[in-house]
Amino acid sequence: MILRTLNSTPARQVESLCPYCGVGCQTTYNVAGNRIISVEGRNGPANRGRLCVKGRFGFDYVHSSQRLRTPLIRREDVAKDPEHLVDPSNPLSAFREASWEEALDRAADGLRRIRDEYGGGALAGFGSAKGSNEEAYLFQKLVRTGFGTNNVDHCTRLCHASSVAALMENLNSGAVSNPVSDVQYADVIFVIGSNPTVNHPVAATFMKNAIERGTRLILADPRRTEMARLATHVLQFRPGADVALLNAMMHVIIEEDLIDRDFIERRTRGFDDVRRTVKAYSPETVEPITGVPAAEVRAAARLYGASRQSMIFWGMGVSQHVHGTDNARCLISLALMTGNIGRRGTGLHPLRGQNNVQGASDMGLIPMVYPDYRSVEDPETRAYFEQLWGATLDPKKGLTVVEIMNAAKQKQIRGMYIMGENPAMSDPDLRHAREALATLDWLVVQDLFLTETASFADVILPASAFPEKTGTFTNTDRRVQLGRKALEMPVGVRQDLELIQEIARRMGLDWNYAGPADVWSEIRKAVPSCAGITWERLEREHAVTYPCRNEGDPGDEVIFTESFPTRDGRASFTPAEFTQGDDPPDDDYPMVLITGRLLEHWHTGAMTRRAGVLDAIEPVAHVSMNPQDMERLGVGPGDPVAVASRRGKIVAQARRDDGVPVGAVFIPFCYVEAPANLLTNPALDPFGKIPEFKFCGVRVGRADVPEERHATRPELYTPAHPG
Amino acid sequence: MSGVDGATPGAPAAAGVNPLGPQGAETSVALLEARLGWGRHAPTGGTVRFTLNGREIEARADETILQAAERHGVSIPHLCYTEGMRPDGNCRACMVEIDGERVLAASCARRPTPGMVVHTGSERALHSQRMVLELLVNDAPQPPSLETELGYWAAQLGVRAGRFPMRSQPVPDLSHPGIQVHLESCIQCTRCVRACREVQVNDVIGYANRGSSAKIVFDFDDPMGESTCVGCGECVQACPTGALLPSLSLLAG
Repeated sequence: MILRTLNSTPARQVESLCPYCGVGCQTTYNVAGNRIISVEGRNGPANRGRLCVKGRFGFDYVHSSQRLRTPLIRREDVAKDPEHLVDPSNPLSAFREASWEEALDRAADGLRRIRDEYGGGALAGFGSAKGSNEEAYLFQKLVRTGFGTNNVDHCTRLCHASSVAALMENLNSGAVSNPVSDVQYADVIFVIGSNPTVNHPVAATFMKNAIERGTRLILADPRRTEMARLATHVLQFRPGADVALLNAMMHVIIEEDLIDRDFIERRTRGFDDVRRTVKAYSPETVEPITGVPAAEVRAAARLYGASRQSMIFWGMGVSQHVHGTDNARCLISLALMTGNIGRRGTGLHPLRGQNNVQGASDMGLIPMVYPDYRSVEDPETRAYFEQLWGATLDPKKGLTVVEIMNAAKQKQIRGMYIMGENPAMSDPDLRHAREALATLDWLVVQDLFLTETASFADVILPASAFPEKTGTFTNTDRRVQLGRKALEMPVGVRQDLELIQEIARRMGLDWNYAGPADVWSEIRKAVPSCAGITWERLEREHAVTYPCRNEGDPGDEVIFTESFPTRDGRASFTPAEFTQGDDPPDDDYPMVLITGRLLEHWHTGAMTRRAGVLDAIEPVAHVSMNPQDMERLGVGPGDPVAVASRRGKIVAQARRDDGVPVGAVFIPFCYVEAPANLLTNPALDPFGKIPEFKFCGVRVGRADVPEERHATRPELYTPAHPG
Repeated sequence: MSGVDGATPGAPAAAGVNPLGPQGAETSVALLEARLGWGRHAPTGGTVRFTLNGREIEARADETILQAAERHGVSIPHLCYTEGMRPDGNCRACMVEIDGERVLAASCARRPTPGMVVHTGSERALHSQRMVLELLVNDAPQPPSLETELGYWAAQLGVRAGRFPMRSQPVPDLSHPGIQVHLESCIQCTRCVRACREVQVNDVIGYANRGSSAKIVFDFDDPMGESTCVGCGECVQACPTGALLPSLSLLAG
């Protein structure tokens, strides 16, 4: 196609990737001077030339006037105040500029002092699922060998930790079984707890293409989202009723003998446990809990069960609950009992959020596993990595994201190194998280901007943006893809990979990686499933799917075809019982809060709120509500609404949304002026340690009218117990 | 076939003509699949030998005349068709002459058959190609940018505006933060319609009215910024004339 570039002709085109979601769209950056002037979709395996609004128009954040260009050190006269965020346009109100030498020395000194005085366990690191595989790998290696602890985690904890826990438990592999593009072979697509047109828009286009050709869609979500218009069955269940709904579907599949006996017999164990459990969950019995008519559940179950090729996709709506692992267990059981795994057009696909959350997890940016998901508590594995890295390693599992914040508050964790993450916006119960960050003796933040998290830093290291670096990124389909540098960094900024090494050297490690290719060659030794992927091949082919164990292997798009990577090769069924959310609505907080993302804004908004077009489309913090609730509460569209939970209160603009169920509100968590996570509940799923972002009781009313004069309260949301 | 511009004399009425030969009975969705290489509906293997500009060449069974010609280094002007998109055959810039046929054929929407003799640069074919481009260029803001496909092909064929009166021009729609709509540059090729409806399945862009009033609309002819457009920009990537452009704000400091 011919370039239409207004008045400026691009000097060059760079083949790279989109920096936003896990779909992993390949892009061409058209660059003139040192500016990206437009972005086009490339014919990559995950996007076939397509992009969404973020990938197409969300690139100018790198040129934002708020970009940090000098290392910053906290001014001694400015205390860390959890109630007060530093204005990102005015860093000098709390920091002073420093030379790189001074900033790096100070940053590392602070961490080293804590390590030497209190031990490695008093330190922790948050890496980033926005960074490359190479950055993630070096970051976890730094924490494990330089800090001497396994306290290293990243936002996977807040995203699919429960899904991965369930997948590891039952299949001994946390990876997706089939790529998104397999929807072309599926007869039925079951999407639950996911809003793909918003969060994985390009993946959604392939689902929509398949649906237009006759593939059927079952959409299950408390909100009626965009894909509903194409769905055969829409199961709009009550928030938190996932297990009841899924058990009811399995109940029908077993009752009506839609199970795959041969598959169950040959490739699984423990089916009878699930059979016994779901017996009590007939669709009629659980109707009061799920709110979905029994006949609709039966019809959907029949459709899924009777099809030979059914594919399951899920998102944070499944994972971000205290019963997130149970939710995922049910989905796994559903696929196993119908034999819908291990073939084209079937399988389990937890849609990955960040562009490199799959890769960052593969690289071991997780407190309980080394690269390739091998347990830190397994002596044999530990010995391997001690030899590979030439260091003695901590034999204990580290703490997870929310646990680290709790430990910081209690002074058990005293120092942190946070690269490209923003827990001061993304953690649940932000007041607590911000207090914890402010309590730290020493905090080093490496980022593009003075993020909310950087407000509590002692040293801030200005870092490289996605289009300014080269590295590999692994998408939701397990495709390792090459992102190529398109722009020179602003003067005064340094590459993340260099900064990790600078800190490492100052922590006593003798590191000298020449660049990302050099790190990748070590990754191939640490991650056997990527051992066959050479840098040259990535440069040539742009994308290679793992597992790719030997050079020349094509890479397996579909896994579990013959067996599961468990000891006996069988997958297991784990039954789950319906349980309540941790913070259910009551008389004081009668509605349910659901949090999530918007199409235009990425995560905490650090990038997209600084992208001109994206912020112009969605500039205002808002609360989406059902019109019935709005009427009852006397709220009109655009009115300021106060939403309070047991932990905090925010004010945002009311927005009418017929898809939000009566009795619930939906709030995106990207707006610093009304951060939804001030309200969310930090209660954790016991297995995945993921907090319950998708469910808590809230009170809602007009912000400009005193509370005692509020109109009638909405009906209390009360899910009953089964039986 | 949709959207035959009333001002395009090169466009014969195509009713009853099956533009894709034996495969023409397939639905547009099936064609989309075929182009995506989605197994089930792709034409089966094999090749077709035919004569192109006096030279005997081989086409794959799933190729159109235009695709086979391009692969053999013969370029034919085309606007409403682009690689990776269902051929619509509506702009008529790619007309070629086929021996034994009364009317010219749109090479983007026609598959070669064994022994077919095709001329892409014969006087008749060139005359038609030029006339289509001249009429389109005549209505476009002057001069059409060489960076657009329309400007490129006009320059290639040495076509200039001026012989005909220009249509009355619509005003630009700048209501969307990311995408500018300049319908004064629009040639109704419907690539944006296919991008929006068949590729991304967002179903926002539509084709309204008839004849010389035909135009691209968003939802019910709403300003783009107030429509249900999700801003994916697939239409911008598809547009061959600059009628849909990224917003200027992206270039500002």
